[in-house]
This record gives sequence, C-alpha cells and structure tokens, in this order.
Amino acid sequence: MTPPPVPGLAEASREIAAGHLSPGDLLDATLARIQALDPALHAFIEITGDRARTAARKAEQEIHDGVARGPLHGIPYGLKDLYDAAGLRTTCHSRVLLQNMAMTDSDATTKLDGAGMMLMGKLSTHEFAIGAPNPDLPFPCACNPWNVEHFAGGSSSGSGAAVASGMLPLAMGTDTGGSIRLPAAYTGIVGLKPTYGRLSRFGVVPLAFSMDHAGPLTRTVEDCALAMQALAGYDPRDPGSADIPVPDYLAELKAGVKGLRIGYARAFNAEAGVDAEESAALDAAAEVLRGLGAEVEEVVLPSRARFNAAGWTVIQSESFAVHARDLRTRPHDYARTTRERILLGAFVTGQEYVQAQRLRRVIALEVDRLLQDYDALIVAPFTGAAPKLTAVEHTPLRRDQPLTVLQNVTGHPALCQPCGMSANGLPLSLQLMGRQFGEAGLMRIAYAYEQAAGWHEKRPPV
Amino acid sequence: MPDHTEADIDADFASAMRRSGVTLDADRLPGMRESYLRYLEFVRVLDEPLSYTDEPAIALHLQPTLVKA
Repeated sequence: MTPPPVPGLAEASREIAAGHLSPGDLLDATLARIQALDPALHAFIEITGDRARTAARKAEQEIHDGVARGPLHGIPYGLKDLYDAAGLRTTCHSRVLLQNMAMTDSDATTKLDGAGMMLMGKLSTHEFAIGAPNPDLPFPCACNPWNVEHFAGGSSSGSGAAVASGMLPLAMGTDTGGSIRLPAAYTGIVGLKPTYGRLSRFGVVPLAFSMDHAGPLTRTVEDCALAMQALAGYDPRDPGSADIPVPDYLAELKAGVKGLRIGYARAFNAEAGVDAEESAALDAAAEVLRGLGAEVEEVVLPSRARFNAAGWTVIQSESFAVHARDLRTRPHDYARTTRERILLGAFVTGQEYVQAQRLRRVIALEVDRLLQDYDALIVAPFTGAAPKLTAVEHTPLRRDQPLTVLQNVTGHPALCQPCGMSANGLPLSLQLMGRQFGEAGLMRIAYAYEQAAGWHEKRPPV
Repeated sequence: MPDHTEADIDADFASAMRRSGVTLDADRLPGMRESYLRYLEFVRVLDEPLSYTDEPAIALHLQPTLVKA
C-alpha cells in the first residue's frame, strides 16, 4: 500500500506544535512516500535522507529544549536543482554541471535551514531552466502525477510533481518566463512568483538575470504565506534584491475580499487562445470572487505581442551571455532543445536588447497604472490543461509562447492556484497578478478563493 | 526594421550563426532558421517608436561607497 501524502506546511506545523507529530516521524513518512512514488514520477535528482535525518534529530532536540525556530521547524522541503546547498551538487539537470559541487548555500537554503526545515533533496528541472523534457539528459524528467503521459510543466517540473504528489509540502522553484507558475498550474497546486527583488536569487544558477525570480510551490495558499514569511527579505548579495520591509503575510490572509477590486483580463486571455474549459473555469472563479464581495470587472492589458517581444528578447540574450562559452566549447553536453533555445540569443543585436528593456519599462508602467485601480488582476496562466508529452513543443523559439512571461517582464507578483478540472481529469488554474510587493494582498485574495472554491482538496490519483 | 528579401534573411542568419561561434549539425539549421524568422516578428514590435525618455528597465541603483575606517 502506498504511504499517504505528507501533510502541508500549516497542518504539519500545527501537528508538531501540538506534540502529535515529531520531525523524525514526519521524515520517515516523507521518505516512505518518496520511495514509493519517485521511481515513477522522477521528481528527485538526489535524495538527501542522511542530511535530513541529521536535521530531524536537531529539530527534535531543539523542540524538546524549547528552542523555537518558528512554524516551519522540523518540516521537510526540496530545492529545484538550480539552488546551491553546500556539500551537494547543483547540476541544473545538465551534463555541463554534473560535477558542480556547491561550496555555499543559496539564500533560500540558508533561510529554510535556519527556520529548522529538513532538506530532502534536489529536484528535477528542465535543463538550465530553459530546456524541455528530453530523453538526452543525465536524469529522467519529472512526470505529472495526475497522468504521467501529460506534461508536468516547467521548468520547475520536479518541484511541482513533488508537491502535487504529496512527497513534499514545500519545494523551491525559479521563474524566468513562468517556470514556477506553469508546473503549479499543470499539477494543481499553488505557485508564487514574487515581485522581482522580493526573494534573493543568491546561490541560484541564473538563466536571465533581469527576469529570474525565486519562489515557493506549496499545496495551499496558507502554506505559501508561511514559506514567504521565511524566505522574503533584502539580501545585498543579490544585485536585484529590494530593501523593502517584509510584511506579516499571515496577518491579513483571512480578511476576505469584500470591497476589493479585481480586474479580469478576459480579452487578453481570448487573444492568447485560452480554450473553452479554462475560460469557463476563470469565468467561474470570477463569479466566486464576486460572490465573496469583490468587485470584478473586465480590464484591458497591453498586447501580448509586446510582452513576448520584450520578454523573450531579454531571456534569449541574457541566457546566451551566460552560456556562450560552454556552448562553443562543449555543445554536446547540452541537450538538443536547450542548446538551440539558448543559441537564439545569438540573433539578438545590442540595439534590440536595449529596445526590449525600454519597451519592458513602458509596459511595466502601463500595467502598474492599471493596478493603481485594482487590487489584483485575473490573467490565464495557460491556454488549457497539461498537454500530452508528445505534444510538447521542442522548437528553439516556440510557436506558442507561455502566457506567463507577462509578469516576468513587469516584475509584478503572480500566483497560480487550482480552479477546476478538465474533462480528461487534469487541473485548470487561476492566475492572480498583484501590485509590486503586494504579495500579502495577493495571497489574501487567493486564500479567500481557495476556501470558497475548494479545488485545493483535489488530489492526484497516486 | 527594413524589409528583407529571402537572400538577406539567409545572409543575416548565416552571419548570426557564424558570430555565435556555435556549430550545429546541418539537419538542425532549417529549424533554427524558422525560429530566427519567428524572432524577426519580435523585432518588428521592438522597432515601434519610443520616446527619448523611455529608459531601459534595468538601471543602476547605487549605494554610497563604503570607505575603510
């Protein structure tokens, strides 16, 4: 019999605080779940059971001694294999970095370990956060726990699969064009791309410096708030880090949405080709929010062509700058899709890169002006539920660009959460976009929707 | 962006590939060229006029120099 899913952050925290669950017991349950499911799901590149065991013993001793490290004390987590953890390899799911031993911790590792959490392992990704689920990689690719023949999203695919399948209550991801939100959307969990600068990128292998974001994937919005409380904050080691005070993310979480104004980018979604199932699910989500007392009205966003031009020009150019040397000297250590996607940056001229950054500022200000009148915007994260793996595009520049690059261009925070199921039994997702550094308000709306709609209680059949 | 003939596009693509210093197998070049054409759609958008005062999104935010005591 398959061991049950491990509890989420809030539930585990309550159980540990009440003395009903010990970190050691939680670790045993987590390892049992991983051992049962991961051979089929491939969420993990490396499982760090011994390291977690040491952390569990320490947490148990500290709890026994009355040393309180906060609500995450004694709870497991995982890291997308772009994050450094001293003494472990950071491979980025690539042959290029197979022997890349981290000497220091990423900021996220430091903060989560400091909160008393237990690192369970490193999680699969699309190679360097830009590749695809290719067979020519050094590790297998993560599968969608709802249906292993369907795409798990990317690039934080292992993070999404691990949390959705109940192997972990928290996994860290990165998001340059949607890589936290898409796995969350495709696997029916919560994924937050915070405001650019809210979470430190220190110790995270870059894809595109000015577009990269670190962020959490969790099962519920409350879990997301708990993780953000531990993770957010200024870090002078990250040049993009913002020295802005961190609010109490739990203080207003359950305050409801009565009187809040929410814009619904319905025309933008239609222009992007969002399918009937996802459109209906978003319409229904808007109705739920109306029913809770929010004022929901349609809004107009800048054209998708402008977001794509600015976003993908920057991503291509910056990622090529990072990888040009290795691409020239050891091209076959990259999988074909990764190699060709990064090589696109060779087409971008200096003038085009600067124009993209200028356009980016213009449209970021346009969106920000819109958010002066609205507490959040509803924007589809994808055109529909997870496609079959055989339908996933492997072209260098995709015909259908992810919708999620919008918030990487503008830097605004965006959260995905489940909002329905497709006819073939796969999750649909609601994306809420908030004001700069307005993660607390965003999670407040997301929590109200989650509690009213209840889609977070659906679990994959594993 | 000026209008390009097929020959111009071929020449520009070959030039970009050469400048990249990265070699691809010949059977991969048609797919890369197709993506290059798709990228040129972005360039058309990037060519829309901006005002002189529209600065790039990435700008330096400097701190006072730390002086050794």
